[in-house]
Amino acid sequence: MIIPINNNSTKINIKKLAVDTNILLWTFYENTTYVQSYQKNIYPTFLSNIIEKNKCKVYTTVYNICELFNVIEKNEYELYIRNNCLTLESFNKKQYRAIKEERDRLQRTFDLLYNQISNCMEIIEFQINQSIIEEYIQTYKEHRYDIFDFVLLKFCKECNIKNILTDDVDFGSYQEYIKDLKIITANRNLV
Amino acid sequence: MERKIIISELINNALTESNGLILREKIEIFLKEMSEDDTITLDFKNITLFATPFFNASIGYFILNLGPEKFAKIFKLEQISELGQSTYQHSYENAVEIYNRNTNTDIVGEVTKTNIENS
Repeated sequence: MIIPINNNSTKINIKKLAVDTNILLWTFYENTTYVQSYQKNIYPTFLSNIIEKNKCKVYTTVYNICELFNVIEKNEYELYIRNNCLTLESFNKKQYRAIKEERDRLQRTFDLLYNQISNCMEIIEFQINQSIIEEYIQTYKEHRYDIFDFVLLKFCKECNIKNILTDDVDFGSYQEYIKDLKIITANRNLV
Repeated sequence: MERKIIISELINNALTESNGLILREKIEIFLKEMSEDDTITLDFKNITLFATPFFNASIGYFILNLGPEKFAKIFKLEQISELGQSTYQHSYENAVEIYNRNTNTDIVGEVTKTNIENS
């Protein structure tokens, strides 16, 4: 079931919530300050309300943290390219990773993000096993989940978490996997 | 004269940009009324949730508009947790870098939006 939210969605009463990577980015990543979008207002406000008012337990997984770091590194690499008049062809990500100042800066960013997120929610060490990988391969054509989406869904089923907060339109792509879940989103393409 | 803002009297957390904008508005009122040697102390007692966009919208805005030197003369933080202090420091350093390098924040916004929406 898809549950739409907006800036005034304060009445949703849930006790356990899983948070997708894009929500972590919209809430904690510093560069969202310079983006014009609905996401950077609605999701952090929703998250703070359910933590403070509903005393809801909020979870994410170690895989979402991995994906978060990966997206941020890609973003910082592309910003470096733009700010230094380079091109993706002339300066690849391996070369970017060799720049000490950038490495130091990103390490500080990751360290801070990890502490901020740990302070707000529990980061679960959910185990991916061969059976999950095989199921992902077998069902791949039925949906549009990437492996991180798929693992978050499996984590929710295993831990009996019925609510997922996401802005990812792909979450609506396969009813079989979300029929017992509430997908909470401000993304109107998902609604 | 020292003017003090008790953050918890304005907002519940330092997690959201919208709360940062509420603090910014309060600071702007103080700045309009201030004499040259006055200072503003931000008291973070009882604030436990922190994210960098909150500080970017409040403190970072004044670093970019006043410049880092003038900002440092006016603002002081107190009763802030270790995580809050690290988050503030991170936002401060980013704003100083943007100020010194005159970074085009429109490009930052455009690239960042695309990468998050495609994640």
